[in-house]
Amino acid sequence: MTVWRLIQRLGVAQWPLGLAIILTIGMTASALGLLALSGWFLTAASIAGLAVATGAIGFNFLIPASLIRALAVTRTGLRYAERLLSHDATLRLVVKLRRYVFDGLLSELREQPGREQDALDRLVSDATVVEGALLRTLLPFIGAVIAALFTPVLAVFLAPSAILPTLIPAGVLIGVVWWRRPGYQALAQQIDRDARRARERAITLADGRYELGLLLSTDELNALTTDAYSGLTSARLAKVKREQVDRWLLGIGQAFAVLGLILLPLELPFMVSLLLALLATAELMTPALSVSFEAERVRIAMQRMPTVMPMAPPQQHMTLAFEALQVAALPGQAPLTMPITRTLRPGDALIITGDSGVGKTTLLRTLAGFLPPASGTVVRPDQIGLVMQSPWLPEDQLRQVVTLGLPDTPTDEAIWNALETVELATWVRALPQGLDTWVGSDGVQPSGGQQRRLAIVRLLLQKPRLVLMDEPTEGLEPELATRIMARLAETFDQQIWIVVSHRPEPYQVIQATLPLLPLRHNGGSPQDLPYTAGHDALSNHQDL
Amino acid sequence: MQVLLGVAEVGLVIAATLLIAALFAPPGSEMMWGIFMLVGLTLGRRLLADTWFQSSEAQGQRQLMAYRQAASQAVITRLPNASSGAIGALLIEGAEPVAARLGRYPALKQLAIIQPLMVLAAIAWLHWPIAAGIVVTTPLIPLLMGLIGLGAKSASQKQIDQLTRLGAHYLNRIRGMETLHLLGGGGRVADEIEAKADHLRVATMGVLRLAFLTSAVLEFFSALAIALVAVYIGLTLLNLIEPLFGLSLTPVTGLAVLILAPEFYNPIRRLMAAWHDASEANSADEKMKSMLGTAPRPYTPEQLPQGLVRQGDHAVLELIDYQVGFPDRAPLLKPFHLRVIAREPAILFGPSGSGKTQLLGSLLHGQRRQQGCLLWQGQRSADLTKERTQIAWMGQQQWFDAGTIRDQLTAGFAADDTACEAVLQQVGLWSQLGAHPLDRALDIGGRGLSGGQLRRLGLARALIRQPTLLLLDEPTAHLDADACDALVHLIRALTVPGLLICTHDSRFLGLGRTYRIVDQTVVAG
Repeated sequence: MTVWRLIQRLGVAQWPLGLAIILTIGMTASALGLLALSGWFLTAASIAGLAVATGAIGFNFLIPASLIRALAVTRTGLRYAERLLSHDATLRLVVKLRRYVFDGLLSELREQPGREQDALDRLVSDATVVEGALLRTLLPFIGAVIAALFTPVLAVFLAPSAILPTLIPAGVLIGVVWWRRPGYQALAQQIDRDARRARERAITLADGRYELGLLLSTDELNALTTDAYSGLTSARLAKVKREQVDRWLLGIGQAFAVLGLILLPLELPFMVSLLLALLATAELMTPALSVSFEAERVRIAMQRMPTVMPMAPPQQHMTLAFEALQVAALPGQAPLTMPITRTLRPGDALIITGDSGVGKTTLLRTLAGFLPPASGTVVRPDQIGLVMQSPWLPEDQLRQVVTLGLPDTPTDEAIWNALETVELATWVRALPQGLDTWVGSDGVQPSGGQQRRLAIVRLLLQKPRLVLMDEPTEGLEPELATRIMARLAETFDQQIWIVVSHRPEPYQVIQATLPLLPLRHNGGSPQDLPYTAGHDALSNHQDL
Repeated sequence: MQVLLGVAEVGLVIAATLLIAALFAPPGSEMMWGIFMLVGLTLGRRLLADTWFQSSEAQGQRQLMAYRQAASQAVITRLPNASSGAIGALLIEGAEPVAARLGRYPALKQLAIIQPLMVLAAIAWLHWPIAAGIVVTTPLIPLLMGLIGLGAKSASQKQIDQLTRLGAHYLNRIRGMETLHLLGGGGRVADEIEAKADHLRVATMGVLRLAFLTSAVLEFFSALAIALVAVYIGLTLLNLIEPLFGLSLTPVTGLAVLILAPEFYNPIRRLMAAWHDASEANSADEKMKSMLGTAPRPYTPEQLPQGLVRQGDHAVLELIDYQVGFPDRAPLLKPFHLRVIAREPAILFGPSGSGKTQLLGSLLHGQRRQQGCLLWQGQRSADLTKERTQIAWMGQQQWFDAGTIRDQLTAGFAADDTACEAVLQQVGLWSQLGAHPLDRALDIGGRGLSGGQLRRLGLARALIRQPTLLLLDEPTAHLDADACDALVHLIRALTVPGLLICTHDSRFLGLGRTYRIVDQTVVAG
């Protein structure tokens, strides 16, 4: 997808960008016109002045002089307008782009190492790269092209014989950009990688601040932070060095152009005019040197742009069925568990038991679809509700904590009812601002048990077809746990309800149990295991 | 060095201009050589300007890295409350202008005075009334800049605020992406993402508007001043007015003055462009400092109460009249005494939020301590920074970098595989990690192991250091009952010399000497 297609797709107003481009052209042209006119004027004036001094006919100073001033003021005004317009337009684009990326991230969710980091990068920096594509690449590039063409065009009018030397800088520019392209592309890739790493490290080190201070000595801390940021720094230094060489090459090209001009027999005012134009365009042409670098950065960022906007079409399954299912903590790793098989229909409930560390959480994540099965198959309904052992809750007001992400905003009454179900209503009423209380690092910090109950409240408001819970009543008093489970059992009469737990006792409202057993590492590969090993173990519970 | 380059650059400009002037004086046969020299001087200037620019860029990048390093280390040693997302945004995007602030800004600041003075001197030598006129117009520039500068500071502070908020918000929402995905109503969440981005846009435009205005104003002023100079020269040359003070103004000097006049303003314009970067860098730095909190107070060991120091019977750690709290706020824990004796675990028992974690932090970093004495094996000590190698800690938020189990155990500590195996056996994790336990890979945050297993791994990581003092902060938080029981059992069997457990889990009561926190007071027994 090209940047322009993306802009069209985002539905951002395109005219400010177009106007900014036109203004850039106008501004560059007036800046250059100013210069060339001044050169001609100065020379002509000095010749005329000499004539004046010797009593010859006067030269009309005022017209070109006022023209120069007019151009200067135009340039100032145009530059101000162009900058405001182009920055505002691109920043608006970035706002839309962030939303677009976030929508895409939500729809193409899949487990992979470093997924959070990757998502943050795409949301924060890729959007900025596209911003740079317009502000740092497109507009300066337009300016550079005009600058490169300006002197030759001027030469056509003033002194056609001078066209050849004035074309040298443009030729050098094209040559340098073309020949040095692979190096810049490699640099862009390196900087992309290292910038992502620097962000990842900055956040990881901040996450680990409590442990790291103790784990590491000052020297080791130094080494760790050096490692975090040195890649990006050395890549940027390499870019600075590379650009310097390019600027010098371009400078040499311009020197040859100037020499050519001088050696040609030209009228003095025209020569000075062209000389000044050449020297002035030199500055404007430099941004084009890094065009391949910026273009590569944009290409990398665009590659990561999500292409599929809508969520996957909802599956029409009403049942949850898993067959010979084995799970692994990370995609591609060896299975951890013995195969299990079961089919559940609306209204069915099941406890999956297993020892600590056997892979219960991994199983839930696999059933929810975040992890691919290590082997076997899962068919699941859409609309899944999940309560993890340490659930994610947004840092926000309490009302948002239990409703953020739901398709429809529930009424306060529904929220209070759900809070009653898990017996948190009293706690919320006691909070300083009730449902508006801020929850998170700067506000109220719920305990682990309260966090799980808040996640249950969210799930009750969500009303999913499949309910997955990981030790939902852990850390609660037994009587409270029993009361909550009884209420949930009433509520989930049309849902498929699965609870994983290390022991079935607190969940006596659920009859059916299924043991999750670790895969033994005594030589046999998973394929050698009897296919129905899990199936046999639960045949007693087959008729739910 | 960079200042010298800048000075040389303007020297070349002046030389080139004077040469141009000389060239037009008598249009003679040496003109060709003059033009060659002119081209040489102009190219030389360009070369110097490029070198100057690149070397200050490189210096800025190195300084930026040093800044990021120092800030990351400060986060680790001073434990701010801020979210990691905010810190990340501040360190990556927010700190970016630091490169300009520490790279080209210092040199530009000097050059903005030296270069215009050089140009002014050259103009004065050519025709001093014009130089005087330029001097008269300059005070307006700093005045206007000062006015704009007042707005620029608050604008860049707003921008940094929005940037850190966006960073914190985005990281929080991204960490909940799985949950949000299941909930199925991403639209409202995306609205929020868009709103936060839009707040940042508005704040950024506030900064940019001022920056653009500054450069437009400067440009306008220089254009105006140059126009006045041009009109004066033009009218004089046309004999419409007499040169001031009876001086003569030849076309040649007029031309030279006209070429030099813009060079007077250019350094100031460059400075102002960098000045906005510098202002943003300062705002980011201020934000960083306010996140990190006030510097820890220098510790002045009070006179020890007589009779409290017992000879011979040294506790591993003893706190006397110790008070914990945030600086300039009411104490979280009122002054108390606490002893960690060898082979007898000390249990600090209290509800969550009662200041236990802050107490542990105060021991390690000297922060959050409002008053009191700390004795390490009978010796008075400001904090335990020096004894750090003898202390190990297991916090309630376990931090694991991406890497193998071996990497986790040997982070910052050299240990061979035998030692790794021994501690993994001790915490009962060895048999649970598959065929090659030490080579088992974990993702960031320890993804790939269960909560209980991670806690054991954290304990193994602490034990492999063979600490004199082991600090455990809520070791059973977020664990299921079986895992808790197993962990309590494991901790009961530990034989570290000093053990301090901060917990609200009653299973640890009776494990050793208990201190209870009741209403901000620490009560023994």
